Amino acid sequence: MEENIIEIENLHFAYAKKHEHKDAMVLQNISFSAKAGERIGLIGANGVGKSTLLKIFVGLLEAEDIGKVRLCGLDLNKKNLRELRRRIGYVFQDSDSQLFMADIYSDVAFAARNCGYSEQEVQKRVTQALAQVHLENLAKRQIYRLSGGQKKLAAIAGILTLTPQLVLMDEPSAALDPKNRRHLINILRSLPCAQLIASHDLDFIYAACDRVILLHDGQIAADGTVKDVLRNQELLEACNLELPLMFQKAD
Amino acid sequence: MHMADALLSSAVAGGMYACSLVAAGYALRKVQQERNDKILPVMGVMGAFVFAVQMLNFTIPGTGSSGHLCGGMLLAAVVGPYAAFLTMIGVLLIQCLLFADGGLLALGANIWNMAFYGCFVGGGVIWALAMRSGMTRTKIIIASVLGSVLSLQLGAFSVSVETLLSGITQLPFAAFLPFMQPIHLAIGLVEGAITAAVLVFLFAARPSLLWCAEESESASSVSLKNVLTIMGAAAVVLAGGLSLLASELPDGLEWSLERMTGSTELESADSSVYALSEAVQSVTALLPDYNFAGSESAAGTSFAGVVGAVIVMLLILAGGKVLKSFRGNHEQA
Amino acid sequence: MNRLERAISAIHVLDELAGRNTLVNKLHPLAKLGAVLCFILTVLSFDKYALSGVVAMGIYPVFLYQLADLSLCEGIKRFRTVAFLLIGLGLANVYFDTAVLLNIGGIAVSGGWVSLFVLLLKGLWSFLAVYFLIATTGMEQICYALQLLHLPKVMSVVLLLTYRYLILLLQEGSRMSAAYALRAPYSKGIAFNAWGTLVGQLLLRSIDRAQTVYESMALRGFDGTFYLQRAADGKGALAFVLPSLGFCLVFRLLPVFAILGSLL
Repeated sequence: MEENIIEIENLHFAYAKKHEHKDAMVLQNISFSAKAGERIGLIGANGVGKSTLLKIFVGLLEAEDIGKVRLCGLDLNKKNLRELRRRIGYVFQDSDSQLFMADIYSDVAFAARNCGYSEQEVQKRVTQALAQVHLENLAKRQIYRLSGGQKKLAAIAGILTLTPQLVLMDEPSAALDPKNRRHLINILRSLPCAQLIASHDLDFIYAACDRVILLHDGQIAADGTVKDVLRNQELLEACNLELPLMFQKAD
Repeated sequence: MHMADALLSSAVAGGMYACSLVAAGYALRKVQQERNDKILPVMGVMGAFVFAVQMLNFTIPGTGSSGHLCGGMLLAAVVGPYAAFLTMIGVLLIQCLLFADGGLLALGANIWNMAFYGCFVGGGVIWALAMRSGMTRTKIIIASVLGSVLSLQLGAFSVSVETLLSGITQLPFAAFLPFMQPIHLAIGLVEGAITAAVLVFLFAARPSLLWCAEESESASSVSLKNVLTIMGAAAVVLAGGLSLLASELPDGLEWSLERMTGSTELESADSSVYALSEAVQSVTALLPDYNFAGSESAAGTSFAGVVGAVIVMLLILAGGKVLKSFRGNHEQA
Repeated sequence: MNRLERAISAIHVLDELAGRNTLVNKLHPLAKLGAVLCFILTVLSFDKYALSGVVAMGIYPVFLYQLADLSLCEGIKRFRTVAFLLIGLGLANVYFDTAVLLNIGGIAVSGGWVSLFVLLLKGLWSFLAVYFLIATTGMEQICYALQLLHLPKVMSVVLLLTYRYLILLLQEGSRMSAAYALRAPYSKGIAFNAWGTLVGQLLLRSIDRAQTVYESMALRGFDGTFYLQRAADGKGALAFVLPSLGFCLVFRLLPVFAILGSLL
């Protein structure tokens, strides 16, 4: 049987507080697994630990002894970090911080060049990645001239060059207009890799994902198909969320 | 305070490049010693920050006029003098390329005048010394004002010296200096006040951001001795470069050099070229009536030369226009 | 338009120019950098009275602008601010240096005026040359050329990041000062009591952004080097550099037009 892309047992995490009063536990008892190619929405109210979880996965938050975390066939530890980051793509909420090169091409090529691919191979991968997000005509465009939607797509292209097995996204639909949102959903649906999308935009999650994990108070409050979880008004409201707009009854 | 290319002779420009390179090499070694990848994006983003802040207008209380910030000292108080100096080099280079503030050749001088003093003297010495035994609001204010005033005074002084050594202006040193220093005292006070205001804000909002030498004693503390050594070395480099290229210096300096060395053998290869072309010209002058009277250097003597050059430029311009319209038609067809 | 917005639009224009596809744009950046530096050095090395020599040097930038299809007027317009500074210093010469140097049809011209004019021209030519460089090359390619000249990695990373975040922070600064101006309509600039908070906030945000930039770089395998796209090739570089050097050498050493005139 093929190994799961995500395999987490009993993950717990607390920020180390500099001014020691009490360790605030952000995440506890998190256990779930995901198969290759699965599209999972990670939902929850603001400050519930969605981004924290994503950052732990790629080692942006240093965490020792946090439970068993196995991603893309590797245990999460310092030794594996470089290889893990190759296999996992991470899309930041703020595209402007993620895209730090001057134009799209050099930014998308950044990871591939750092991995030591030949310039020919880099070019092939960049072209392919740009085609996947439909930006092939803008390769030479300066980043600051892009719209918010284009920046998001460029940021996604930047991680696709390494053909990741798992893509983590932090609030990808923030600050997108409806048309760009729709466009992004279609593109995400067309990507073959597994995706874990943190968002509180439930309509977006409903359209882009098949499965939902609902976080509340640092724990998993629900884990199921989008239909089961996102139509459950009681559950959502208990977790400080509201029904997706499309299910709310017009008054 | 940006110096333009035209204000510097090649010799002084080169000398200042050498000085700034020495300081940059030193700063680079220090930054690399820390082996901290995290500092790179901070330097880059802060460079852009300095850039943006330089363009803000600050109203000066009681005067109705507005002042600006240069930012060297402010930067040094946040990222430390070495990283700040390298960042400022980046800022000045981009400024000279994109906005034509200062020129490509004057860059060495501008780095020295505007970045070195602010970062090393203001940040590396004054700030570091003041914060040695802990930070307080008062100390931050005093250090900011003192550091800014001092670095701008030194900067203004360097500008005067460089201009005069370049022989661009006949303004006597004794007249130039009393003009430059008081103006830059005012500018320095404004710079100091803004720097102090920002640093006091940071001290209240996120004190951990402020740089102090103690934390990383081994790698990044600057001693007064080090700064003086760099400045001394720079002076030697500059003096050496100048004397090598003495033939380009204005007559006065050359004359005094002659007096000092007791010889008149300060000629360079150039003078023989001058002599040759002068000879060619005296024979061939087209419009003798319009010649420059009493000019020593042959390169600047022919009125015909000026006319001829202007004609050629106009021809090139016209040629370009014709070619362009031809190309335009071609594309339309 | 305030300074921030002017700066933003200036960068826009330069990016557009650098992104064109002219013959000169395609030249190797190192060739252009070298030629321009050599040209400026030559211009600056002229004596302060060397009017005809300095005027003749102008042929080079004028020619380059035609070659690159750049607007000379635009370049001269941008020269304005520098010109004021130069005139200011040059006028001192007019005052101090009154010895008659030149006689044009009975009108005596003092050395001061000649040197003022030479100073202005030197400024203009070197300015035009730098503008030519950036407008046909672009920041990233210049950085690449500097890397070839062994610019330390640290510096090229800092340069590129500064350039990248320049517009973003200029826009942020512009928004902040606009928001400030809306609430303080009678103030010409930022009043004293807001200096610390306004700039301080911008600084905090910049530092936070740098943190995210670092994370993004680390996640994509940053190892201290920015690998830049290589310049097209060295083709044509020599064909550009050699005539440039030749021009500088000939026009620096010989009064070309005087000689030409004598041949006629």
